[in-house]
Amino acid sequence: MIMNRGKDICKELKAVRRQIAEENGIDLEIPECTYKGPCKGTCPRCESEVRFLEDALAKRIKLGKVATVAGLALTLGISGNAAAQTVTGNENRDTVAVSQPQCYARLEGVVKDSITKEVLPFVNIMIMKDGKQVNGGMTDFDGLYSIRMVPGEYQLVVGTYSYFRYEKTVIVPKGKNRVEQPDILLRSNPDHNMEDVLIYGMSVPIFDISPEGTINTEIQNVPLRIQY
Amino acid sequence: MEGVPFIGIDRHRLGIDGVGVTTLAAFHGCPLRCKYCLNRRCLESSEGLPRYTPQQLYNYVGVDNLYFIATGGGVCFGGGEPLLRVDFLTEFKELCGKGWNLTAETSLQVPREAVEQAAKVVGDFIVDIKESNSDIYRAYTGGDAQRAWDNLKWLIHKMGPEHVIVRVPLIPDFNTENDCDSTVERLMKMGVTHIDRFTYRVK
Repeated sequence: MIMNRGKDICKELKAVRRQIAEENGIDLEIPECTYKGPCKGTCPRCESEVRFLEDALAKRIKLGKVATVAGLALTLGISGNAAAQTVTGNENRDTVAVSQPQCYARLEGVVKDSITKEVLPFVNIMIMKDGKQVNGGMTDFDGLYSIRMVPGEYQLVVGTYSYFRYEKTVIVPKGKNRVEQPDILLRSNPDHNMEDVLIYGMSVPIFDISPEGTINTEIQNVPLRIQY
Repeated sequence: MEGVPFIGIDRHRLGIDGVGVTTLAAFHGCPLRCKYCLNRRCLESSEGLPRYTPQQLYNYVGVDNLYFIATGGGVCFGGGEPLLRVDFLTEFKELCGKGWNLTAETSLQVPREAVEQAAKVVGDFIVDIKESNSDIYRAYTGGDAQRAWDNLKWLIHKMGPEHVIVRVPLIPDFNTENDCDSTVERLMKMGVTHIDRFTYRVK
């Protein structure tokens, strides 16, 4: 369920990026995503494409060219717009799930690099039970994850590229709203060197990582915002 | 301004909270005590919740600037009750400018002054009016229906019906289809054109 929704979001956002690129003559080839795990609608590659577009648009502006973005994707198939809903007779839509809050708790914590202690964004968090994934999520920009769960015993599996996979058993007791986990420290995997990562479809690599640099320091150097 | 507590921030909501790509920023704190509250965390202690100033939130959600501008989206403030934080909304709008559309998901259970101030910076309102029968409204929310309906009337007049979506839920064990029909009829007489009628699914 989560995965399908995430994939749908990813598809819509991809269409927005493609339209911005086409309208502004930016060479951005977006490869088909082959990732089969849980998707929150974005991932480091999707985010890097957005940063690439921002950078390319900023360059266009610098060169005195027009950057067209505003309202470009207004007509994209963004469905379910509440603004478009009008009353038609006795139509009922079961759109709001109301649950008994005491039945749920949030499993929360932070994921960090074991050496540098830097927080790690976009790390996959999987909640397994009896060998099957029952829930999941992804850390945010501050390395935080927060997953709503019913009480029980689970296997928490944490993983991302260039780090060793981490697993532990977690118990979500009844009657608690939050279950805070100690910081999860991921160990770097030297076999997965970030220098080897290429993002296909770009005319130039987005990040040129120097041996002494880290992906985080490179990301900090990327322009985050353009005002139009 | 000091940082205010949020119960959550959720990116990339497509068409759920208004037009385009939106990020939901849900404030802590609500004047109502709805029996089937979806976000009960907003009623508990704010201890441990992330706190943001308008500038910090702007920096945080700005990562989706391109999507907001391309799709006519922006930030939807929910909660909790966002109109309890109308100074925050005003300061945030000064930062984001016209490029981002702000939406407020509100019960309108706030003083009129707060609604008036919000109307200056919020582009679209999603009003959770719930019920027109005062007794049912009070039984379900603990609040005064009259205040919400008075504010809604003012808001429709000020913003125009195209910028106000009103939610009318069928609430199990509290109201009936006939009650919802009455609420919808009253809304239509007020000139409301966007009505979102649905059923609470109680697990």
